[in-house]
Amino acid sequence: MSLNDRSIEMSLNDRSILKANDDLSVTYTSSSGKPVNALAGINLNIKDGEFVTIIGPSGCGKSTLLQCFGGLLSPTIGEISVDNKPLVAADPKLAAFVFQEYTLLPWKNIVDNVSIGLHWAGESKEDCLKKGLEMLELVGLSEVAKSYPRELSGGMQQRVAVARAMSMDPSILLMDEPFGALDEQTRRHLGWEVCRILTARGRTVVMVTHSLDEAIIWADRIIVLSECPGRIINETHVPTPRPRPLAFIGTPAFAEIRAELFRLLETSSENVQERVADSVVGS
Amino acid sequence: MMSTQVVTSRVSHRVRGRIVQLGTIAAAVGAWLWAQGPGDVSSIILPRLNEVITEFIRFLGSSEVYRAIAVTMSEILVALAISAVLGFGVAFWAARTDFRSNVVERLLVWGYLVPHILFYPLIILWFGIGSPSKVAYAASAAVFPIAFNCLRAFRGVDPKFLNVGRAYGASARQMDWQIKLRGSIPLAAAGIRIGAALSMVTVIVAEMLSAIKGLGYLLKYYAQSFNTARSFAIIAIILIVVAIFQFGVTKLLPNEAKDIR
Repeated sequence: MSLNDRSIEMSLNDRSILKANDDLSVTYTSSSGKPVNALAGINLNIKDGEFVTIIGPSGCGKSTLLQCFGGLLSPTIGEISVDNKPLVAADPKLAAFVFQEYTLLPWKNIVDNVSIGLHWAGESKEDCLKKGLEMLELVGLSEVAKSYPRELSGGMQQRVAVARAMSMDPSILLMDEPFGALDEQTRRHLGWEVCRILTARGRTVVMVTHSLDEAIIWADRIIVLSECPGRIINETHVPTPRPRPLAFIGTPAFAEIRAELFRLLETSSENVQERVADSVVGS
Repeated sequence: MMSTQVVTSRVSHRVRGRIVQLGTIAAAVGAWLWAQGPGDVSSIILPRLNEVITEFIRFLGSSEVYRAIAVTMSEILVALAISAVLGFGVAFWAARTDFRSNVVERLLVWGYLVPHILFYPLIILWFGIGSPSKVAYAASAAVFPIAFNCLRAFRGVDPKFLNVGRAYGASARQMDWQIKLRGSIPLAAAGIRIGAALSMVTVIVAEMLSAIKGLGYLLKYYAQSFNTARSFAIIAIILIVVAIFQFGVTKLLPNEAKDIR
């Protein structure tokens, strides 16, 4: 099957792949010993094959929510299930991460990096190599299989990180601002390329991003979180089928969604500023 | 055009550097020759250069020097091996909890700062004047920087790599061996490099203080016999042995400047 001949309608169905229930909340203790609510009252269902982006003001708990989805952090209240299995610890077969930072292991070559999760899961060397090469081919980097991370550009390293996550064949892919460290142009093209691959493979993806453009052009649904503690204040569906061409950015549909999201974020940001000003006056 | 100028500038910079280095050596040799001629410095204080060269060549053909090199090098290598295994083991054990790390790290700093020479008479008492005392003394000096650097290395592994381990299902053992240990190699190697230099210095000093064989013993023997020409020749041999040893250590251990590949 070619990468382009599957549309999002074919892969999306009504089956929930990830559920965050019971008013999921995360509270942690700060270094000064005070409890801090990072997330509160989160209830979310993500469908099989859906591409969901999460946006919100800085420090609103976007990455915290993603870490909960990946089993790297346990919620204080509520529970998460992936593929109808309760998520109690990180399991890359259920949810695989693509991190914001460059996290390829510098002492391993690219193909070994791609198959590291399989290696840790006890797969044979041959299977790891085969799967690693297959995933590298998918992201168009098979020629650098034997290179080391320091020999690759940032964009290439993040493509390898996507291949690493895909190699686990996870139920859901979690991406935490995966292209945040790249320049605008590389980020846009690489993002589009990765989105095209993920759509063609019918992957369920949850991605945290700061970029409104990125959130809209890739997603079926955009979740907007409020300022800390993060609560879901809006869910916006993007009706245009995926993968969308970059030219979608110039359409009225895009502009309308962008304006609405911008307004929501601005309101959220103003609330924070007012609260800060009040606390300064109060003190 | 620009790049040609940069290359030319670098070459001329290197050539000038070499000229200054060779000039300094020539000045030192000139001062030596002047001291032996018009300077009228006694040959007991500063021997004739040709005598030193003659003794050096004689030593190269003498089994006495090769036996001494073998003794000194074996003491250094055994001491380094003991201190590396011990230092590495202590650091690996301590790095597993914050409590252990905090307690042990401070002890290692104290151990590093203590002048170990104070304990040498006791070490002689315990191990005698043969090779075991040199090995014990050198190992006791080298173990602290090695353990300290290894501990710092194990604790300082970039958290993002630990996160990858957790997210991609690494077991506790895989985390230890394939991430913490592998990620700590550059800093740990720096500790072993310091340990290697320290064991070399301490073995030679220990041989000079109390021994019946080894390069340090030979140097002390000829210096106390007022045979300065032979003393200088032995110093030259020690410097060559040191250079070869350091070159070997540098080649064998991973280079910090490069990536931890």
